[in-house]
Amino acid sequence: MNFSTRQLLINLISILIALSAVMMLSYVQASVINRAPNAFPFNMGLNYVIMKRYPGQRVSFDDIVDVDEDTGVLIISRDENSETIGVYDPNMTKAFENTIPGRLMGMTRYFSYDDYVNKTKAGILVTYAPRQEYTSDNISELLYCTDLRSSFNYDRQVKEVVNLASLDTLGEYVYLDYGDEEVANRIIKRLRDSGYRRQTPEYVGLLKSLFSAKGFYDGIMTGGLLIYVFFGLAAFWHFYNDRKTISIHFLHGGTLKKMAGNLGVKFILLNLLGMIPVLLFSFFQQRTIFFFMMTDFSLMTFLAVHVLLTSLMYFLAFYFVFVMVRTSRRGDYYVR
Amino acid sequence: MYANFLLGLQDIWKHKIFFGACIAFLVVFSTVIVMIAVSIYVDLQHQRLMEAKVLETFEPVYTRFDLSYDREDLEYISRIYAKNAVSTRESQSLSSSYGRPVALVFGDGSLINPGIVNREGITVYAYDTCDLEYIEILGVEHKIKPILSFAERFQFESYLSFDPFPSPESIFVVYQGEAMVEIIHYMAERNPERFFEIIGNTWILAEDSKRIDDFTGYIKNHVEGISFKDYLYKGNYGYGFFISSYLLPLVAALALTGILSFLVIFQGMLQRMKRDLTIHIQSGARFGDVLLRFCVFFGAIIGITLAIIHIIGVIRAYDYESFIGPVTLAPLLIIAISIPIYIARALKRTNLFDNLRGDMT
Repeated sequence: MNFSTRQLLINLISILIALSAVMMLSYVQASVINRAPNAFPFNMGLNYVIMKRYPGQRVSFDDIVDVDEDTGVLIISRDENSETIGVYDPNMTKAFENTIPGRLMGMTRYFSYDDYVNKTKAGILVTYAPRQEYTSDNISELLYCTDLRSSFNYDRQVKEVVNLASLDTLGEYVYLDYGDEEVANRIIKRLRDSGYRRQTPEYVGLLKSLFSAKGFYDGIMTGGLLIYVFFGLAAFWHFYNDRKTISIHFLHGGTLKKMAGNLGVKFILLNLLGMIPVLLFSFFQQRTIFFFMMTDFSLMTFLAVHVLLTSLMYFLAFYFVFVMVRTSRRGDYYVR
Repeated sequence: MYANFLLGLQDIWKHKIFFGACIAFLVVFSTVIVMIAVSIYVDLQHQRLMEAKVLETFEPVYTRFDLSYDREDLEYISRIYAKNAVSTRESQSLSSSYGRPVALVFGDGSLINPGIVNREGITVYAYDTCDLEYIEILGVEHKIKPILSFAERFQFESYLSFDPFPSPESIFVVYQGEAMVEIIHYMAERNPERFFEIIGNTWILAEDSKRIDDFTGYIKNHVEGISFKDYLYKGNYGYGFFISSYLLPLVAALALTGILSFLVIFQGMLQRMKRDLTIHIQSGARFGDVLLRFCVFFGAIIGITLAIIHIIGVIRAYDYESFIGPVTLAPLLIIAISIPIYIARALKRTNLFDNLRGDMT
């Protein structure tokens, strides 16, 4: 099977368009996912990871965290929609957020190393008015009160923030944010080994995100999909530049079906092969870029749609040029 | 020339889909370039801010309700305060006695004002506007040195965004060495919270990173009941990675798509216009006239793109104050220059007279 330079060129354009479209779509999708109210639980940063427990597993704090070694992380654990969350915050990143009536020496304090080691039932109360004498099953020592806007209460359902080490078992969900990747990986591995699996944030499908796109950059990136018009135009002019060859084939008995079949097989074959580098590049981005959230299924579906769409445009462009050649009354000039 | 301009406009109408697609493409392309420029700009600004950090301050976190003071800790910290580190506390009793703010300064007072000499003992300073000669502290009278320039008051004001000693009447009682240990011990013995307040209010010169590590390490590991708030993400927004792994590949893919599509499309357009162009040349049109026709077509694409990116706010007026504006315009300028060059070469290489025999158009 021979491939002309022109044929390769049009396939190269298809590959580049697929690459550009995947990247633009991933941006729009990430933007829609990250805009969700629960996108960054507990106001965690870009590194955050959510792990969910398989049913029936029971894991204790000591199975997962070594308080002497594991610093540079923030771990929050809770059961689904529970009012109590467990916190392990050795770097004190969340200390005294939105404290009411304020941080007062001798009156307020934060979780300490000793709390984690001794599993003290220390805790913070999320409340609209401070209640200094508050105690409960989970909190025997109140550290301070925090108002309802505290990042611990990002979903407006949290009432008690307790020492994670004091809980018998970790909750159904474990939220992990980190500055020290090595420690984080260690904890994630232990969680995996103990029956937790990593969860993606509330996923919004590719098609849905396209229709939910909001804001300037989302709009531009969605509009960027007009790049497919370029492919249509390039395909048309590609055949137009080849119209003499098409004329000769036509004048020698070539039919639309046969010629489209011959050209189409080559194009589709090269197009399918071309999707391999696109797929590899996307896998690379999936692993390296935090906002590339497309699932493998979405990615494959998109690439299949891309192949279908470009093939359709390719055939349509051929059809237009073929009709042009067929209706031309001067076609015989080419075979003189 | 006017006729060529009109012919150029006619070409726009004939190739309206290509014309529109080019504009849409260039708007998207320019937006991605803006995203790159903005990301680099933010990264650089952040780096500059980090480099400009002159003073390390600390956010104390108490981990015990009942705070206890240990003289050993004080003695260790006094060694840290020997140079490049200072802490202050306003004396309520002295301030109310003298009716003016009296600040107790522990450690290297030169951080508070360059006029304060970092030396052992107790020295009392005031601004040159001060009218008081002596101050009595714990039954001992100290002479006030009104030698500090009020014009050169707190040197880190712009960094901290506030001046902790704004009054021209302020008096600074500076303790260093053994005198400092004794006075803090005197206060902390009666009320341990004073010691923790002083620790929490420490400033250390950012350039002295060893002293900072020494201080934070000691407080976190040895002083019971206090620690410092830390951050998981330290000055790394990750834009460098965002640029190299996402934006640059996207720009490269878009640019290549644009260039290759343009080559294919323009080749076809030129072929289609061959007869037209040849007739024009045969009838006396110069090469420049033909080129002008194309320049009108592609000039309009660039012009409209420029107008759109300004109108919809891809770049704004203030972007020209930084490199964001010029960096965004640079690719458009390159396109605007390279297209006429490419067209001129393509036209010169095409033997237009070969095409008067009535080919299919």
